[in-house]
Amino acid sequence: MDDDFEAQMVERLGALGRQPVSPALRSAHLATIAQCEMSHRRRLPKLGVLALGIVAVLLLSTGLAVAEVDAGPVSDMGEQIAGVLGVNITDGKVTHGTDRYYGADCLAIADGKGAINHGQYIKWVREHQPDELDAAKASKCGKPLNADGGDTDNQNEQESDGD
Amino acid sequence: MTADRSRVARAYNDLAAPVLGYLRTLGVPEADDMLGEVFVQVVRDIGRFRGDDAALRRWVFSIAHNRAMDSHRQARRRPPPIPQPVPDAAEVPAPAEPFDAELVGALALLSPDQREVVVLRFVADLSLEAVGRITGRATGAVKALQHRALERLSHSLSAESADQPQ
Repeated sequence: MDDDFEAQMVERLGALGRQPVSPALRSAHLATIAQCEMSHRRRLPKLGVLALGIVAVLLLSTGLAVAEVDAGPVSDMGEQIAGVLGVNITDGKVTHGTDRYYGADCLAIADGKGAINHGQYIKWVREHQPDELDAAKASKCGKPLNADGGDTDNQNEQESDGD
Repeated sequence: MTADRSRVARAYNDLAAPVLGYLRTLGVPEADDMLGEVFVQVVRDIGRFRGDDAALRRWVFSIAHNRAMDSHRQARRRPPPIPQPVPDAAEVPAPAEPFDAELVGALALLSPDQREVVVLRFVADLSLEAVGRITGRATGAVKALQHRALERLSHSLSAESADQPQ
């Protein structure tokens, strides 16, 4: 093959890739590019990080409760978060949406967030209305209801002194 | 994200012409539309791209290459078009831009592999290594295909020029 001929052929091929795009087409494409939705980078969004943090605190506080370790601030935070989420934590077992007894004989829980269990109810009464502590311990407040609406005598839901 | 979007706009200004030339040379139908589709995909995926300008060029042509191959596969699966009446010559619009019809015709005589390599090498102006990565071939295989393709083009174009009256 003639080197000059090959060089001419390569040049002609290159010219095919140098013909300009029409201005109208270019404008249309750039407008589309400006409006296109870009993919998210591979990193956790802030909401995902927050959710992970909440889950981590919940798991840590329940784990410490199972181990009967004084979790202190972690446990308190876990209970607050659990209350916000409407999640019940009983001896490390998380129960979602369990029906619990809160009749007229039960004191109104201050924040009213979520349905706390009997142990958490006792803890709240001790902190906010200590005069009612004996009645609270004897009550069924916060105890799970069984399928027919009656309460269950759940041995796990004992008052946790946390001392 | 603003930096990514402006990077895509710069890439369009640099690469739109060779990408369009590449698509037209391969005979992709509606190459103008496909050029837009290529850069839409670039915009959507730019957040996951990491590399310099050379890598970006290779990546953009990978996208164009894959779309062109998909287009050819779909064309092979489609039923043949119903013949339409041939319009009068006066009704056929003139091509918008001059295009080397003789060379494109000679390229059509190459095997698909040869055409793919020579177009990526010289129309898209990519290196042997880049063409190898896009087409999934070793550099030696790309070089061999390139050599055979240029020989065949040389014969085709020489024969055509010999046929033309002096």
